[in-house]
Amino acid sequence: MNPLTLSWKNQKDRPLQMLLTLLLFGLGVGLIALLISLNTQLDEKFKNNLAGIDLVIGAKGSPLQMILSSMYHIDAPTGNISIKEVKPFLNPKHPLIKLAVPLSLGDSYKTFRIIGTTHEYVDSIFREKVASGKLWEGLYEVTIGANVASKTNLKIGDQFHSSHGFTDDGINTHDHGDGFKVVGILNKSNTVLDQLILTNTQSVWAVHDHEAEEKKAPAEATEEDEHDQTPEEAGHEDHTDHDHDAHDHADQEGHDHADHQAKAPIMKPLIDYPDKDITTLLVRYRNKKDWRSLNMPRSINENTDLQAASPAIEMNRLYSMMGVGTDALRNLALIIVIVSGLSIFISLFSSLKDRKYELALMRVMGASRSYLFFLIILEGLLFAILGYLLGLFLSHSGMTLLSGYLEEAYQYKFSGWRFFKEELWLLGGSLVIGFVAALIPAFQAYRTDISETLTTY
Amino acid sequence: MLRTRQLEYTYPGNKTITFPDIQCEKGSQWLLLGQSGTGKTTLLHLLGGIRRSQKGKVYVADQELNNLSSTALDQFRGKNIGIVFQQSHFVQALTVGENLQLAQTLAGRSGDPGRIKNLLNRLNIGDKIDDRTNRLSQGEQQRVAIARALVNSPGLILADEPTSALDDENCKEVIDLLETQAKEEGATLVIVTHDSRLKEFFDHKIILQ
Repeated sequence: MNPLTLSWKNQKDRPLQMLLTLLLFGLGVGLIALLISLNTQLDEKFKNNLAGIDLVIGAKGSPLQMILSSMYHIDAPTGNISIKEVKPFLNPKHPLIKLAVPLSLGDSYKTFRIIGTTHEYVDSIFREKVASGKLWEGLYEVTIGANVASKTNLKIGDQFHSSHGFTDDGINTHDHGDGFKVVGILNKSNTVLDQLILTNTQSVWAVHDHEAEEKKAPAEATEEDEHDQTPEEAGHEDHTDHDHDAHDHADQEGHDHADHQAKAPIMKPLIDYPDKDITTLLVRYRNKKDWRSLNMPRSINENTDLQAASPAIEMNRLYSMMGVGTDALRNLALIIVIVSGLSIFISLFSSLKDRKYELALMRVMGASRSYLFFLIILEGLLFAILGYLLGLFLSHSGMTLLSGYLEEAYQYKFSGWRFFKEELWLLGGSLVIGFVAALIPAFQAYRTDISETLTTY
Repeated sequence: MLRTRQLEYTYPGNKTITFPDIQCEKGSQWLLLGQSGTGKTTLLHLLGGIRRSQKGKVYVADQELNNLSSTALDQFRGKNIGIVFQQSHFVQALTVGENLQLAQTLAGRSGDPGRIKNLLNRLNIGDKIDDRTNRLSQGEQQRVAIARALVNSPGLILADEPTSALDDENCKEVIDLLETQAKEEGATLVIVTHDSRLKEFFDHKIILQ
């Protein structure tokens, strides 16, 4: 019978006491582990999705909201900006800007956001590639993120209709016009890219112009054949001077969608649509340390109707605000752990009273003082290890449960079964608490006077 | 096997008891008889190395107990002395078999399940090996206590008032049991008691005053 078995059997003999102590310890450790997991994964998300973007330019409003909506795709956008306003930034010869990627937000499919942008968003910002198929080319072609593909079961060649806004309430579906067509699926990147449906800016415009047109003249819209009312056409009624392949659609009356999209037009650069809107512009500087770059956001904010914000600064601001909450939670967890340490102490101490005769008896049978000391310490450590394991189980299964909800809220996949090196520190801390809690009872066991105990009890 | 010389014990209140010299040969069986207050239990604890005397010497198997360090004394006691207490106490969380196994490991021996089974069968409680000790009757508990005292084949077996709570019939049975088992193991048996019914069973008697 080794001491570990004996410790275990001793504790198992008082199941309720053990359960209570373990639960308390497990809750404390679990809460801390959960915070570690959440913090680390949020931090990674923040860093991964920063993706070398130095500046976001969008409509005036809350800078944090603009960052959240256009970099993390969490919040609603602040509004739209016209291409005319941002034209200088789109110039590839801009002295300070190396890269400017437009984003147009507005629609979603089954809560996944549809983003109108350019290939640079994938190639240069996230440096990702398609896993299968290709990047979008023509109107209404989309390339979807890895999680979108797995969650919605969309495959290459599938078509779908988008919903207006970012919620999927089944009411605001664009059930008119042409559907989007999936032409590619992106590699899994563990960034927000996994959660997005990407298309070109013109497609996003097209869907909404179509809708606007429909609202303006519902009678006309219903009278005409669906194919006549192509969004592209509707959107460009004012620009008849544009030589646009979209006009072909009119000639293809009666053809099916696939056919219709196969002859999608070649897109012109955005600069050619000065009256159109985009939501934000993601900017990467040529040289971050150039003082002119540093001055750019302020100059934009003061001299134009645009708003410029640095993701790093805004996210740090958000972190420091959230920090108060996580600090409070961490302190709460610490208190729980300390109380559970106390409960280990009480549990051992009170069990020692009942077991005093047993301990004396063990001395009679040949156990030394240090053996009894060791035995009680072992019982404290046993509590700590079991409580720690329970805590880890709680935190990881809790994280798994939470991840579904978090993924929806934060557009980012959280993993419940990732382990962190901080959890090793937590094990160390647990062992220290178990040891300290057992110290006084162990010392008492050490000092047990056999003769006196045997005569008194 | 067991020898004492000029053994004296002083209690915290300065009351001193002087014990008569004892000399027990290997395999002999002794009765230490005395009324309450004559220091019976104290003597048993001194002989068993549970308590140290301030004066005089106790030799068990030619080893002077006071010469041993605390840890060495614990080990020596576990290996060479088996003690049956007035009330049978066990490690509650363990079964009968596990309690005996614990006695073996604590004495620094490796567990010997054969020995445990054998011993319990000899004491007619072989079927209780997997029972928790608090499920046993008083008589069964006493047998387990005897088995525990014997499990490491000690040279000396001490019993503290083993019969005080028993009626005549059971009293005789327990004494028989102790005598036969001690004989079988070749161990010296010393029973400390105030129970004068036991006088007739023993040739060697020491009366404490």
